Amino acid sequence: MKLSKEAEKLLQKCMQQNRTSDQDRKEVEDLIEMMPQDRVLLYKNVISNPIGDLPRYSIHIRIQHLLTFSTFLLLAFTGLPVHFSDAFWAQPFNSMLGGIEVTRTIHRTLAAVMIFTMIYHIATLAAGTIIQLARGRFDMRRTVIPMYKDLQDMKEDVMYFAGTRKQRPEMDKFMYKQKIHYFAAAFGNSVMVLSGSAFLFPDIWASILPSGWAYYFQDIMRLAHPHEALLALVVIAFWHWYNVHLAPGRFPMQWTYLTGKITREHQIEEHFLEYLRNLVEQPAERAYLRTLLQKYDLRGQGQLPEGAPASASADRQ
Amino acid sequence: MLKPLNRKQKWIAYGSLAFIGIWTLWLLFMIGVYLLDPGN
Repeated sequence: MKLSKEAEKLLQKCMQQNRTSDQDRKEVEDLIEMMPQDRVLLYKNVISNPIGDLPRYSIHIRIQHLLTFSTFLLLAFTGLPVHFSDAFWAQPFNSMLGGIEVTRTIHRTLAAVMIFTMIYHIATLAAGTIIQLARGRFDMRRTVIPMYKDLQDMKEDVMYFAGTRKQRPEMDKFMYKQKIHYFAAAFGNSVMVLSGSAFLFPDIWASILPSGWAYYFQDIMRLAHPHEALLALVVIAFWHWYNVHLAPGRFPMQWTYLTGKITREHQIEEHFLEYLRNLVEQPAERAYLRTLLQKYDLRGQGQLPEGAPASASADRQ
Repeated sequence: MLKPLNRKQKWIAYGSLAFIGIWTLWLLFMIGVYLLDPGN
């Protein structure tokens, strides 16, 4: 495979940051030389453990995801009966919990846990960045920060799905879609915390805001809190759950949130640049890929070799 | 190509799928309630 300029630069930086030995460097370069130009051939021929092969998320990120999704669902479950407290279904629900005041108390307690998780997340990001900088291994392209390349990736990915491009773009650890989703969630959480705090501490907000603004601020927050909640639920159910549970290749579930690992098939398809880094950082992955590429000579392909899994030929049609 | 899931993994994966399915049904109900609420 001939790497793009972008991928070549990224690979060189990764090897430099990891102080890769000449022998390992040559091994990585040989493997890339042996790879087929068509990445579909590669990811359709690798054998993946369904619960993941390559590292992606630390234990901290997984704990934060577990805390966020459990509090998010329970907040929705307790918040909507408070908002629609007059509805026929909300009254028995609130009574079952001991009255609307109890539902409110549970809701506020869960909100505190969610806010703690947000702080924990920011602390993890800050500490992780400082550690990587200190080790000389920080690469902004490996973070969730939006970059110009994401716009290009989005354009090329749309072209691929429209059938005017043969391959998906070479995307990094976090692709454009994940970055949009991440910042949408960050924005949504901030709106919920801000509006929730307005209900809980109206006097404090009235003392901070210019005179006469508090009334309108409360009005806007009363509108924002339930609308944002329902919007977030719709995004989670019809976008996030589709991507991690139902999308082809992910069904019935993507295991990254539990195991912290991603399958090599998924990594090559959607995060090829991160896969190149994995080749530098994971000797076991180099060994796996060498065995595969020696078994099926896919160099400069093209056509499927004899004996390769039939799924690859079906995918290419 | 993914290796097949073992029995325990199938329980976890399809259990999660059932969980989000039930949640989505509840959400659809809530969307109905939301749209029918004259206050919105």
